[in-house]
Amino acid sequence: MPKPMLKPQTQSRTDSVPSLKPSQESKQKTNQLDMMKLDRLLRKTRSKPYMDAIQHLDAGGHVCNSQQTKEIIDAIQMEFPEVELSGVLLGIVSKCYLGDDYEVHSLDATGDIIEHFRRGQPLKGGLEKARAIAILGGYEFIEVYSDCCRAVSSNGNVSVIK
Amino acid sequence: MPEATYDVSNALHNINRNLATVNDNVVETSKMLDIVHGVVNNVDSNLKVVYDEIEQLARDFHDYVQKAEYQHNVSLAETRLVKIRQELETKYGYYAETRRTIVGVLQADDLEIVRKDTITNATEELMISAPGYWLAPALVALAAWINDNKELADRAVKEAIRRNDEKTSLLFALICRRADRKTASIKWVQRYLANQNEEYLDRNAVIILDAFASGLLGTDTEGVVAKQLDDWMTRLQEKAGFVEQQTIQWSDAINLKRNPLTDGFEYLRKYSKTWPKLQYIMEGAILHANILSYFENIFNQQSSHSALKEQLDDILTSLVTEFDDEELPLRRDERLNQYILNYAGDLSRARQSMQIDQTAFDIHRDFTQLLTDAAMKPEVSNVSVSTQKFAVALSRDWIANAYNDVVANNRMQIPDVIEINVENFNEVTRDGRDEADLIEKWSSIVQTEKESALAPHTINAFQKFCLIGGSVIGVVGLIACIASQVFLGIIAVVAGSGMVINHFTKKKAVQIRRQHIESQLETKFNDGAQIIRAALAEVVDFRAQFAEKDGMSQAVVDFLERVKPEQYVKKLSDSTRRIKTDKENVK
Repeated sequence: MPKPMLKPQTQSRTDSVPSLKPSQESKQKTNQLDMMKLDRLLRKTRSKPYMDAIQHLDAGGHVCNSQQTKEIIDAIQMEFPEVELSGVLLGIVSKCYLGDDYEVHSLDATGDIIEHFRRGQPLKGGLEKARAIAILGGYEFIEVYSDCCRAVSSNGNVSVIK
Repeated sequence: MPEATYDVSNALHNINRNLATVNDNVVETSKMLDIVHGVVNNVDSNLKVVYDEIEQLARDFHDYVQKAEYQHNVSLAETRLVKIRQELETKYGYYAETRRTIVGVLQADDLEIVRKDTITNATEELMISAPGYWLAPALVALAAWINDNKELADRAVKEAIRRNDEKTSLLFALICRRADRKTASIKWVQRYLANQNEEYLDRNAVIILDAFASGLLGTDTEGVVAKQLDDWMTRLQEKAGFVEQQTIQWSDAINLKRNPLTDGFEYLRKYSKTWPKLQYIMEGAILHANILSYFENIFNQQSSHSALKEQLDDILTSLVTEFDDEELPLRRDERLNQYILNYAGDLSRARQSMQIDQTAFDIHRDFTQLLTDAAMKPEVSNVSVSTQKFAVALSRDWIANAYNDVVANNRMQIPDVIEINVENFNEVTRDGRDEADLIEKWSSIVQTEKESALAPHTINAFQKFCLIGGSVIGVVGLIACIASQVFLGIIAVVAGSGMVINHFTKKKAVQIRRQHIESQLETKFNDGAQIIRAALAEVVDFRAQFAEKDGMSQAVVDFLERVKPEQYVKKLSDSTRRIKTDKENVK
């Protein structure tokens, strides 16, 4: 079984961690943005703070505390302040360097959970499709969206995979 | 008895005779059938002759009708041509005169054999007789310019611009280029381009841009043309979905450079169900080297401008010799009727030629499509190397986006594991380094198969019993012989011996069959193991080769980053220096 690094603690996290779950206001916000404009926005080169935050997905080893998760989610929201990604961004997958037979880790945007996956363990929540490219593609990480994947290189450049 | 024998013999003789008669009749019937067949053949060939003649008649008739129709078309076209030309002369006769005069003025100025007063008089008269025609004030402006009359030139140019800004700008851009006034030429080019719709550029605009990129129209020291192009790009980029469409357009153009992988990896081709995917991604990885060499080739080429200069002169010639928009419907009719005469009344050929004329010149493209075609399909767009460089430089960011997407989409197809399928062996490997494990699995499969194949090939209980039972019966028989029961004893000995012999015979046969199966399966194991090892070796090679070729993508990205758009657009101030700079930066 994959090891949940941070269990979703509904009440406490709602207070402390800015969740990526959709809210009524955010739905309206997303609806206002045309999909084309959203595509253009999500094509932009990722900032250094954002890249650094995502690289910390496995910085805490097998244990990831809520503070780290909060920082990562904050970084995602800071990166795209003008857009609400809930329901669009499913999660982020990247290659895992924890050793043993750990292959990839993921941040599940719907559950705000960081998990590390061993060889043969399938990723959840529609993230499995990014597994091979995360391991073999040479990208820093893969953002998995409902309609596509965006592979982010170490310099922040974004490639869209339809 | 003899009588009865005689009767039967007689009857048989009669039957035989009757059969011979029947046989004769059959032969006779066959001969008659042959005759009938011959007659039918004769009728058939006669019928064929009749058909041929009817066909010939129909052809002749058709030809006759066609000739009559063509003749009718020719006479109709002749009549129409006369009427059209009369109408052209009445309505636009002075247009033609103006055009003849401007050609004459240009030639006279080149040769300096006509007095300036004569030029002035000729042009001013035309100005009066050609009201509304844009070329007339342009002609006056040209004459005033030759006469060094700035005030008149300015007024005439303003009027020409008022009448047709686009054509006046193009005319003076080309005249200035002829007169080697390149600074003025570039300003006129900017004015001409400002009159163009960036989403609907015609053939002339494409040639002008090509000439601009080649430096033939002068030096854009003030960046006026560059600014115009920037404005186009900005307007286009502001359109919703434009950038995304561009990325798709460029991705498609890049993917056109993919080549099929026809050689190598013979075992994976044959023994891996993953091969189609592997082939696809390897072709995608090889694409990087193709693209890099394609771009390098563009930037390493020296431009040749001779063909382009001819095209510019052609535009100038057509601008001052060919008809104008208002004449178009009549001119088209004139051309169609001329074609009908040329093709002796053949309407379809005439229309076909009109269609070709139309599509050759009536090509409109948006600016970015022009850039894509120039960069990736020079054989179709027929542009110079300079324009290719210019197009790549100007589209650099879109190309980079599209290229990164192409690379990522290819990498997305990389299979995590590769299947190896040899007969009933269907296993996967990641990197081809798990040979021992896979051979062990193959061995286990073959072993299981061997066990199930050998299972039926054993001696049964009776055959096993034959050895002991036969021996006992034989011994009992011997005892019986000794006990004077010789007959029974011998029978028992024979039966016992038979049973023992049967046991050994069957046992031998089973052994031979088992040895044969074992040998077959050993061969199968060895062959399979050899295939698996070879396929695994190819997997190792494939992963390494893919990584190497895929790594070339970075070289393409680096190359594109070194192409600075401003070198090709904003600093077109010195074409000679620019080419040197390209090489220094891009190499």
